[in-house]
Amino acid sequence: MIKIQNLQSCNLSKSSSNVISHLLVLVVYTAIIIVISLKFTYLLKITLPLFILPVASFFYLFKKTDTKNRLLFLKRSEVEEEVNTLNERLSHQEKLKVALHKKIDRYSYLEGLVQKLSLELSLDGVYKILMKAIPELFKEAGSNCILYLVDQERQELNLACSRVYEGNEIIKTKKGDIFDHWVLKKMQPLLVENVKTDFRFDLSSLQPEQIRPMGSLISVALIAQSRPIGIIRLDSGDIARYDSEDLRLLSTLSDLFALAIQNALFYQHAKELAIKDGLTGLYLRRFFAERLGEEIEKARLRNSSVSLLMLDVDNFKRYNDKFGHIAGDIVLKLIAKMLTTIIGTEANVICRYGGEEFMILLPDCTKKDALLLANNISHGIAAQDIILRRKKTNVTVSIGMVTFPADSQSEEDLINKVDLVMYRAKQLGKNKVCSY
Amino acid sequence: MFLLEPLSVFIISVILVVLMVYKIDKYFIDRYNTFRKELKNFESYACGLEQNLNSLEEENLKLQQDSEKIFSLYELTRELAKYLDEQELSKVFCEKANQYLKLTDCRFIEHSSLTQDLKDFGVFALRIEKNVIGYLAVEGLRDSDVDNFNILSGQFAMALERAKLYKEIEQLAITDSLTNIYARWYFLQRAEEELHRSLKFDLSFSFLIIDIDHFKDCNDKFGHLVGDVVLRELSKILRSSMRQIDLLGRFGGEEFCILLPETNKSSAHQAAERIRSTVLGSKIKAFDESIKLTVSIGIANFSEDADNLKELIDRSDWALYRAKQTGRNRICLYGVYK
Repeated sequence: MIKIQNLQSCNLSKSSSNVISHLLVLVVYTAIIIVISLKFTYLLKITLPLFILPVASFFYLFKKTDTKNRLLFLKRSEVEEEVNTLNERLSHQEKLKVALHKKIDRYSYLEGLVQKLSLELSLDGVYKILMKAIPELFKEAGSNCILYLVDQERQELNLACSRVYEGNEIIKTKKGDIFDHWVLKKMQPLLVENVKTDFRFDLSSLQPEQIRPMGSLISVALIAQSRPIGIIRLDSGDIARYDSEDLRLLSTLSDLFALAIQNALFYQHAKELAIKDGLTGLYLRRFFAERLGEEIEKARLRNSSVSLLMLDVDNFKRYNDKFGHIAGDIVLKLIAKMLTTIIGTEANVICRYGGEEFMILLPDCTKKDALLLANNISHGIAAQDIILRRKKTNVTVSIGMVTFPADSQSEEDLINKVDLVMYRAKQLGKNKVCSY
Repeated sequence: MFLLEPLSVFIISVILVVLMVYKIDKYFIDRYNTFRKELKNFESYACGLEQNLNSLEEENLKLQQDSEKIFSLYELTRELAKYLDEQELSKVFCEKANQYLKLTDCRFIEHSSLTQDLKDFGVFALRIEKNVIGYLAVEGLRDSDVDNFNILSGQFAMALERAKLYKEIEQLAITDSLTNIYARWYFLQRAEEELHRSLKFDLSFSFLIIDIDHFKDCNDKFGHLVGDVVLRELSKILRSSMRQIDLLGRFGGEEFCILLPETNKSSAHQAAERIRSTVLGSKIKAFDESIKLTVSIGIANFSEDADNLKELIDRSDWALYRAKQTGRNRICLYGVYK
C-alpha cells in the first residue's frame, strides 16, 4: 500500500508544475490587461468583449476534455482496485512463503532427528531427544509437552516424561485426562483450538487436580503394529496456538518416536532375556561369571571375603520322571523363589547355573555367615511341601561352599572347588551342606 | 508613447487574447496528457506487481511441492511400523524408495562381502548405535536425491533394528510377552519331554487346542488394544481353571493349547467342559468395553489317537475344526466324531 501512495504523489508533482506554468502565464496576461485598461478606461468598451473569447474557449475546452478525463479517472480507479487486490494476494503469498520455509526447516530438522534416534537404544535417551526436539520444532507455541506410555497389563496410561514451559504449572495428571483417553481410544490425532468451548469434551468431568490453565492442545497416539503404545501431547495456555500443520508434524513425529520407543523397549527386554533365565527369573551363567570377577577384584582391594554357594537339587531326574517335567519346572521355580526371599538383596547374585544347579554369590560374607545361610537354605527347602495333584512331595538340596580368599585366590579355582565340595555333599548322602 | 496609442493597445489586447486562448488550449491538452501518463505509470506498476506475484506464486508452488515431497518421505515410517519381519520390511522399503526417488534398482544386503558384485550400485551402510546392521545397494540414484535417500534409509534402519530385536526376543523368551504363558517353541519342547516320559512309563496324556470364537470380529470391532486385553484375560481364566501340573502355551494368534499329563480322554473332556463354561460365564473388562466370549476346544489323546507330537497336534486341530464347524462354543474329541 505504501508503494502506491508514493507513486501517486510523485506523478502529481511532476505533472502539476507543467499545468501550473500555463496558469501563471494566464494570470500575468490578465494582470497586464487590467493595468492597461485602468489607464484607458474608454478602451474597455472595445477590449472587454474580446475577453469573452478566452472565457468561452476555456469552457468549450473544459467540456471537450472533461468526458475524456472522466474516462481516464474511471480507468484509474479500476487499476487502483486491481493493485489493491494484487497487493493483498502478494502479502498472502509472502506469508505463505514464510510458512513454507518454516515447514521445510522443520522437516530438515526431522532428518537429523531420524539419524539421532537410530543411534539411540536407551529409553531415557529417546525421551531426551523428544524433549529437546519439541521446543525446537514448535518454537513459538510455548508448549508443555507430555509423553504417556500405555501400560498393557493395567490398561492405563503412564506418564513417561514431560517438559513444562517456563512459568507454567507442573503436570499432575500422571494417568492422562479425557483428551488423552479420547486419542487412545480413537487412535486419531486430536486438535482442540479452545478447550473450554469444544463440545466433544465435558470439562466438568475433570478431577480438580487435573485442571491446569489450558487453552489449546494437540495430541497424537504412538502406533506400532496397529496398537497404540503411547501418546504425545502438547498443550498451551493460549487459545488457538496450534493449526493443522502443527498436528501433521506431530503425527509424523509420533510415527518416528513410536518406532524409536519400541526399539528401546525391545532392546531392554532382549538385554534382560540375555542375562536372565526365563523360567526362574534368576541370572544366567555368563552374567554370573562377570559379576564373580568384579566382586573378587573388589574384595581384593577392600581385603574382604566373598563366599560362593553351589546348590543342586537331589534326585531331580527321578522327580521329573515321576511327576513330569512340568512338575520339575514348578520345583525349580519354587527354589528360585525361596532363594530370593532368603538371600535376595541387591548385592547377592543368585544364578541358575545349569539344569538343576544354582550358584549364589555372596559378597562381603565370611565363611561362618555363609555356612549359616547355606544351612538355612537347606532346611527351608527340605521343609517346604510341594503339592502336586493333592499329593505332598518334597525335595532336598546339596550345597557346596567356598570362600575367597581363604580357600582359593582365583576365580576358576573357586568354581572348581565349589563344584568339588558340592559333589562331596552328594556322596555323603545328599541333603547336606559341605564347605571346603 | 507609441505603446499607449489606442490602436496599439487594442492590438496588444488582441494578441494577448489570442495567446490566452492558446495557453488555455495548451493547459487542457497538458492536463489530459498528464492524466494519461499517470494512468500509464500506474498500469505498468500494476503489471510489475502482477509479475512479482506470479513469480512468488510459482516459487511457493515449488516450495509446496518440495515440502510435500519431503513430507511424504516420512510416511515410510508409518508403513514400516506395520511389519516385524526383515524380508517384509526390505520389500516395503525398496518398493517405496523406487516409487519416491525413481530408482532403477534397490536391494537390501546383510553382509558387506556381498556388495562387491554390484559394481554400478551405490552402497549405503545402515547404522544403529555404533553397529552396521546391513547395507543398501541402489542403482539410478540421482545426486540431488542423496539427502532424500538418507531420510528413507534412516527410517529403514530403525525398522530393521526393531525386527532384529523382536526376533531375538522371540528366540530368547520362553513366555509370550503379551499373555505371560509359554511361547510355542518352549511349549513344544516341554510337550516333547512329556511325551518321552509317557512312553517310558506307559502313561497317557491329553492335548487340548482352544480357539476363541469370532476373535477377528472382536479385534475389528474394538481394536487391537482391546483384543490384547481379551487374550491376556483369557489366559488368566485358563490358568485358573487348570491344575498346577498342566502345561499351558500360546500356540498362535488366538489359539491356546493345554497339555494334561496322565489324563485320559473323559477326564480331559471334563476339564475342557470346565474351561468352556468358565469362559462362557465370565465377562472380560477391557477399557470401557465389557466383552463376552466363547471358545471351541479340540481334544486328542496320546497314545490313543497318535504316537508322536506332530500327529497329536494335527488330530486335536482336526477336532477343533469339527467343533468350529458344528456351531462353535463346544468341545470335540478326536475319535468320537471321527
